[in-house]
Amino acid sequence: MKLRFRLNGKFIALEIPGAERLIDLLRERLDLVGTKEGCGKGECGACTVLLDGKPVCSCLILAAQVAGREIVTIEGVAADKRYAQILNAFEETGAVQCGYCSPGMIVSTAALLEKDRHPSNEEIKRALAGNLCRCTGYSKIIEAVSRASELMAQDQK
Amino acid sequence: MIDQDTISPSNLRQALAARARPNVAVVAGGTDILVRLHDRVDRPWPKLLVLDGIKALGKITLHDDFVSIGPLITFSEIEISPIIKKYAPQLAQAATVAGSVQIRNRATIGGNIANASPAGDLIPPLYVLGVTLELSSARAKRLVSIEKFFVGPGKTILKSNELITAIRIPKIKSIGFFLRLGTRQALAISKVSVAAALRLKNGRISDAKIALGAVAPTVIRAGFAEEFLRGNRLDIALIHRAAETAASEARPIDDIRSIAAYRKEMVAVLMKRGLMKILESM
Amino acid sequence: MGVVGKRVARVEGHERVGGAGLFADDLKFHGMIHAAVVRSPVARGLIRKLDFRRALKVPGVKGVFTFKDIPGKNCVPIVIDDQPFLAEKYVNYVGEPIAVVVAESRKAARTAASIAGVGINELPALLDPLKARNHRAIHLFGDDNIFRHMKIRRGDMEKAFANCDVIIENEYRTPYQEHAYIEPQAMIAIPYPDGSIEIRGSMQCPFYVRKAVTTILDLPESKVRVVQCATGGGFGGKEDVPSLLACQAALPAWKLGVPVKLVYDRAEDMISTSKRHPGWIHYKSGATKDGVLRAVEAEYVIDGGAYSTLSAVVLFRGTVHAAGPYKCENVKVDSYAVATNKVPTGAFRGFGSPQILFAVESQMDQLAEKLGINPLEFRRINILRKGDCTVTGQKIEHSIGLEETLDRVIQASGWSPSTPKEDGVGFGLSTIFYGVGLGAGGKHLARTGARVMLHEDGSVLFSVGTTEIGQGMATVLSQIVADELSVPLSWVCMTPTDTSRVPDSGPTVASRSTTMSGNALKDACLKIWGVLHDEAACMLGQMTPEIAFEDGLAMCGDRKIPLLDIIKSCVAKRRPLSAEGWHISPPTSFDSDTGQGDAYVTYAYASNLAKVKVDRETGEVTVLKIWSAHDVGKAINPALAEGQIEGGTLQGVGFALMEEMKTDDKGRIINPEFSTYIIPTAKDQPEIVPIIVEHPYPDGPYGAKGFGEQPLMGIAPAIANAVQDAVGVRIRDLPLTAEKIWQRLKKK
Repeated sequence: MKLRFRLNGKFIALEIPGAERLIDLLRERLDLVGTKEGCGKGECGACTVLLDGKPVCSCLILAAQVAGREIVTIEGVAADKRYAQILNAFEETGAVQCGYCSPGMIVSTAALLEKDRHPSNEEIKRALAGNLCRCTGYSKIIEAVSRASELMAQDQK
Repeated sequence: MIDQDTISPSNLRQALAARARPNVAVVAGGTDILVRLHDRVDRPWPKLLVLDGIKALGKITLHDDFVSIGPLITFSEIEISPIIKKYAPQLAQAATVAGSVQIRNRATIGGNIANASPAGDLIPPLYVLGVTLELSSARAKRLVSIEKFFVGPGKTILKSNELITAIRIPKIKSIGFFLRLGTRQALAISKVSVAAALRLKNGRISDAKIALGAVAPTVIRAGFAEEFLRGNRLDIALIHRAAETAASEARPIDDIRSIAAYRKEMVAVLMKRGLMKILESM
Repeated sequence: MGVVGKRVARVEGHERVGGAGLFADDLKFHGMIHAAVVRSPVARGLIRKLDFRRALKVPGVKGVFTFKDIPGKNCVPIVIDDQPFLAEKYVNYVGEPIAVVVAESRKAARTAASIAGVGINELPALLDPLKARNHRAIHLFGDDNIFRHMKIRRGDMEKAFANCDVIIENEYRTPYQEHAYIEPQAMIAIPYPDGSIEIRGSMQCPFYVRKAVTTILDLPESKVRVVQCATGGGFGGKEDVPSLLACQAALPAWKLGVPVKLVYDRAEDMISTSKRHPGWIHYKSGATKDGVLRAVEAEYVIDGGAYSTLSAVVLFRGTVHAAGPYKCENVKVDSYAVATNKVPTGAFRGFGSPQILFAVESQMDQLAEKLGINPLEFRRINILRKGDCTVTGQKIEHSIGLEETLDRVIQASGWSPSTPKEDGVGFGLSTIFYGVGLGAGGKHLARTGARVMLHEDGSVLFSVGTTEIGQGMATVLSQIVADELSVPLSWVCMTPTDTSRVPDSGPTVASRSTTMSGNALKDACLKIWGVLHDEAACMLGQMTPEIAFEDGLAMCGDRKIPLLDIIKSCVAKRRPLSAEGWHISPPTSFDSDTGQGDAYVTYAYASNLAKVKVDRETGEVTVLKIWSAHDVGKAINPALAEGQIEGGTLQGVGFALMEEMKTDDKGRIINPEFSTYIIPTAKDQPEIVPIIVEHPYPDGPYGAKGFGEQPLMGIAPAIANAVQDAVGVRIRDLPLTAEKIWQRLKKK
């Protein structure tokens, strides 16, 4: 099918099978390998992208469902100056150990901070509950999100 | 739009026409069906009927006597909808605890109903709210009470040429709750869930609806517990008896998540906790 | 102004936050095809027939390979070489690899693998290690199904128990724990026209992988190059299993002359790859009124699965730790690794010790209770201190901060056994230790190489044989190199771990990377530093100068020369500025009859205090807070050390409360998904207070010991002890589910 959608701010037109998974469209077809596959069943969040600004698991989205919509991947978040402090905070606080869950975590964080500039620890945990991490115990990730929100608030001043 | 693997209708009429075709599987949010299909590697997938584009199925509208929820409304939308919080708070509570942000942003009420898991979190609230489902085919439409919709785990009376096209919630003022227990604090399928809706008149319970999830082949009403509550004043003694009665109506099994004896007793615990909270708020 | 001891940000963090394509599945090679594995559906059987006709007809399929196609030896070399790479006649566990299919797409390969015709005559299987041991009819290994039996014999048990005032005897059980690294196993094999083959993938042990590939392809080691990709978590699950994947990719790659990529599907990974050994422990311990632990008698059985893989060495560690970090004159331990027809179990953070320590620390609390002494005091009486001997007779002469870890958790929490608490809330302690490195059980592997190159522009490139798997090794080692050469951290860079860069350095396991690679790097850096120092002396015109190197400068009195100038001078004079380093561990020993010896070169120590709340009606346990103090010798990077404590503690919480891989009566794993194998999410996380204690290890770089595994090991018993404290329920089989606690509360 002919597919037209916005990806990381740019319009894309592709001719692909409608049943192709968004994660494969990104990783295999477009070489955007920042989005990682951890389970293929929406249970780990490593493949999180933003669909019209909302975090979703790209392993459970079909190409046919992306028509006319806006996708932002970790590559888009990393390139977006508005989110630079999220990446800085993750690096600074030690929230990255093996790094495999990090892209998904950061995309979920970008969506959270877009909605709520000063989330509490409980709200952060809720927003990240769908992103599994096995290395960090989540402690420094939660710290990083708080830190990012502080840094972003400082930037505003 | 049709290709080798998918059909993406742009309106309901096209969708119902496509639904009538053979070997077609409906994809709403995809959070159940695509998980199942992930494991289907040994034979081709059915043609996927992608409902995303149908705006008519994604609305919440107010009618005189009922609220109509489109089947494509997501758990996230239910969570934040002021209309649903007003007329179906138990539904909003259930949507809040399910899955994760990513799942809630895609999972739909229509999909949760059609998937017909005995542990489906939106279903017990729909029971106690006295919901009616609108089922449509290309040629006909029918209204079915939610309780008549399920026949077994994963089995419903939905015909292979039908779609759920609306979920109707009667605008009845009631007070209630939805509580559940899971294997962890998020991304957890319910071990047991309880939903309740009570109507009070002059300090007495004029009507009570209780539904139990994950303790029978389908979600069930706890009819004896309801009868027990009806006509009485809510007090601690009544709550305990009603909770025990509801537990006795549960028919749970042992499975990968929990054991029958535990589930049975937890029905009582959740009932009690939910009703106590109502009592405290009165 | 060095960087060792500072909380510097990870050097390898920057690319990872942006999702850089550093993991195996991110890589693509020209002409690359995909593999999938055909596996046994039954726990034990005789392969009657294999029919690949339908599989070969799937569009895009390029071939199917069986044991018949193996040029070399059909064996995965680990400790005892009993594991075939591909099943020949018999299959011995559900998921055992039988054949490898390759195709143009991953989807086609998986489809073909799923429809491959596998005809197996099912045979009766052994699923319970207690029944499998000495089974008369079914022989899976030797004639008793025992991979290994180990012993500790110390003192006089009969006399000791006779003199005890209290004796506690119980049985404990622990389940399979699955690593659940978020990156599934993945490997790529790339053959080259010069007859060599390169393996890239997710792994902890490149040298194990090289050995496996040379074995099955019958190639010299010089023709196989293994390069580790960024690895998305290992925890022991990528110690020996990657060797299997490497062979599964290499065989078709070799035969067809094209790169082959293999990525396991999550359910496949959970079903077929190694896990923590289920443990069964019969434990009898006795003490006298004065609170002294007098006798310990333990029988410890671990379920090794169908092939021995790492069971023999897992058993070694479990045995040495079988009495906990205490003095005890009378100890009898019999430990067994037993064969069953289930997935071969292997390494997982703790490596045989979490199971037995669950028993040890539960027993300590029960003994204390019966004695009428509080559990804190009881531990203080019995814990090892400097000059004491472990139960293997090893005298601890250095680096023992166990008591301080206990003091620090008590101090940080403000808790004491007499602190009043709310109903349903409880506190539980555990004190543990961990033998650092491979110990006497792996001493022949206890060597590591390193290479350091200082470039003309001052940048430094170093290589080691151990791998960065998320623990922060690249950063810690970079900090060591930076300080050794007195250069800024930003000048230092580690190469990906590559078997063609350094000699066989052993595996990245046993929390050994900091000590082993750190010391090998120090060895190399010292050589380079010697050249720089010499040149500086020439340039300063000094005979025996007092030259200090710091922050890119060489200083002597008032005079300063930039390090870059010294380097340029060396280059001009063609002086070597690169060097190799080598480190071997100090000697260890272990007598197989008595279990006595200096089992490990040193030990790390930890104390944990868990605060829990138990819901009396639902039985649910909420862990509110855990204080966890670890003696790490020296924290090269305190932030990374905290990260290990936080991550390991949460894995321990999972082990304690919710993780259990279950098998059915046909030996099949029934919960191989993230939805059914439950690991903690962000919402399940308790507050964790990591505490670092430093009692330097004289032979460690800057005094550091390894400790990455330790944070997991003592959490389950601390939580079990806390549950007992909260609601008076003692559970002796993990996990401590709500259902179990509820059942016990009902009985009361």
